[in-house]
Parts: sequence; C-alpha cells; structure tokens
Amino acid sequence: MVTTDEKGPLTAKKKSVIIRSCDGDEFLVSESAAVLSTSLKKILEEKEDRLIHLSDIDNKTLAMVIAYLSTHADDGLSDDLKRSFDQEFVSGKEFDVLKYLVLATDTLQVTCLCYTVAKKMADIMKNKLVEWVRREFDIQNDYTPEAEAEIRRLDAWAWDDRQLEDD
Amino acid sequence: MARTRKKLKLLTETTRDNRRVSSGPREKQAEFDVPMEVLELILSQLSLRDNIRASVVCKSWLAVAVSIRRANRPPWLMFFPKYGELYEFYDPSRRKIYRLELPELRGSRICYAKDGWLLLCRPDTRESSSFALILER
Repeated sequence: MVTTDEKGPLTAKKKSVIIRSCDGDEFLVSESAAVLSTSLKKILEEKEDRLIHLSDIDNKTLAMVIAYLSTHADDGLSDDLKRSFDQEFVSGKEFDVLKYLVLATDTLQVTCLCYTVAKKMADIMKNKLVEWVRREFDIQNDYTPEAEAEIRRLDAWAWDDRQLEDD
Repeated sequence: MARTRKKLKLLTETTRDNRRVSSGPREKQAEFDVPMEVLELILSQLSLRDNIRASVVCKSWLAVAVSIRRANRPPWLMFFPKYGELYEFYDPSRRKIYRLELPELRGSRICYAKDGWLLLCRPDTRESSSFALILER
C-alpha cells in the first residue's frame, strides 16, 4: 500500500512517518512536515512509532491536511507563496468539506490552518438564515418557539435590514 | 489541558498490525459535534450582526456567541493639549470627558490608532514606538 523507495539521494536521509486515516488509507509524510502539527510532534517525541493511526480523520480530509503540511515544510517556497497557497487552499471548498477540515486541524493542532478554515467558514456563514446554519451543522433547535422569538425580539435590528440567504 | 490529553489519546491509537483495515464506511453525516473551542474560533470571526443571529441557532451556540460578543462601542475622541501634558478623552456614548496626564507622549505625533493602541512617531528623533492606552472606566 505504501510506496517507500522512490527516494532520491537528497531525500534518502530524511525521516518519514506513515499516517493512517480512520478508513485505512496510509500516507507517507516527511517528518519535517508531520511535526508542523503539534499533536503529531508530541507523538513522535514520545514514541518511536513510525505509524500513526488517526481514529477520527477520514482519508479525504487527511490528504488535504498533509498537502498543507508538506507545502509549509518546503523550505524552497517563499512565505508569500505559502500565504497564497493558504488562500487558494480554502477557496472554493464546500462548507461540508471545511467542517471536517476544521475538526481535523483542531485535533492535529495545526493552528494556522485551523484559523484559516474557521475564517473561511465564518465568511460563508455571513448573511445566512439561522435555518441554513442549523442544517449545515446538523443542529437541533432546542429553544421553545417563545424563547426563540424573545431572542429575535431583543436584537431585532440584526434581522431587519437585509435579505438573508438560504443556500 | 484535559482536552489536549484526550486528543493525544485518540491520536496515539497507533497499531503495529499493518493488516488492520478500514474502521468501516464513512459515517460523516451521522454525527458532527463541534468542540467548543472550534465554535469559538468560527463565531469570533463573525460580525456583531451575524454573532447575534448565530445565538438563535441553539442554546449552546447562544452561550458561546454571548461569551465572545464585543459590543461595538464608539471610539473615544482624544484631544491634545496646547500646553502641558493633560490629555482629554471624550466618550460619546456617555457624553463624558476624562482627563489623563501622559508625559510619555511628549513630543510625539500619532500616526495610527487601533484597539487602544497608538502608533507614535517623534519627528525630532525620527523614532517610532507603540503605546497602549487602556481606557476603561
């Protein structure tokens, strides 16, 4: 499953780790990329294990996080290029994808990416109907109709002036 | 702290058995539980208006939204003295004037002000410095 030896003379000395998603896919990652995640760094410091199984991150999400980590571990890229990579990284991603990305980066403690994704999610949530937010986050409304009406009444101005979107 | 430990425990569920396979099909839609700190991070990026709307989503969102809500209070006006070092600050929301001696600002010009911070420059020495003004009564 894991391809190991396509290393050139330069990368031969670099240590790698294998990271496995909850659905069993394995990714070969350079240690310099892995340690950009504070959680992975701690694990690697504590044990010699070269195989890390992430029990709650799926393969698609993990692939995205690893792409991010590898880009940021690349010394050949300027900070400007990395910054534009970050913007590119979140743009055009569906809200659903971002949700799992934000959880994964929180678990893996990739602070910078977690922040960027949260910001993108907030941007999408702007001017959305409350019903849209509940649906996207799969949240049950636990207010009584009276209690909800009361909160809406208290800050009525927050609803009054613009068309809210439902998609 | 406790949460970090929990995370690590989850993560260190490593295995040496390479044949261990998929833990089953993705059950993505089934549960999506946003940890409090992530919710804080997301909601703190919203404007006050969107923050208020988010508080109607459910009770736990209300608690988070209120805890990070910052009322958009109007900024204070700062008056420079012609002589001396007694500066005046006018709070338009309460229509009150506060006076403060600030010898540190002598000879400085303000280039920029944001969130209680001033960026100062001193034309005589061409030095620049930042200065925090915590103005809460």
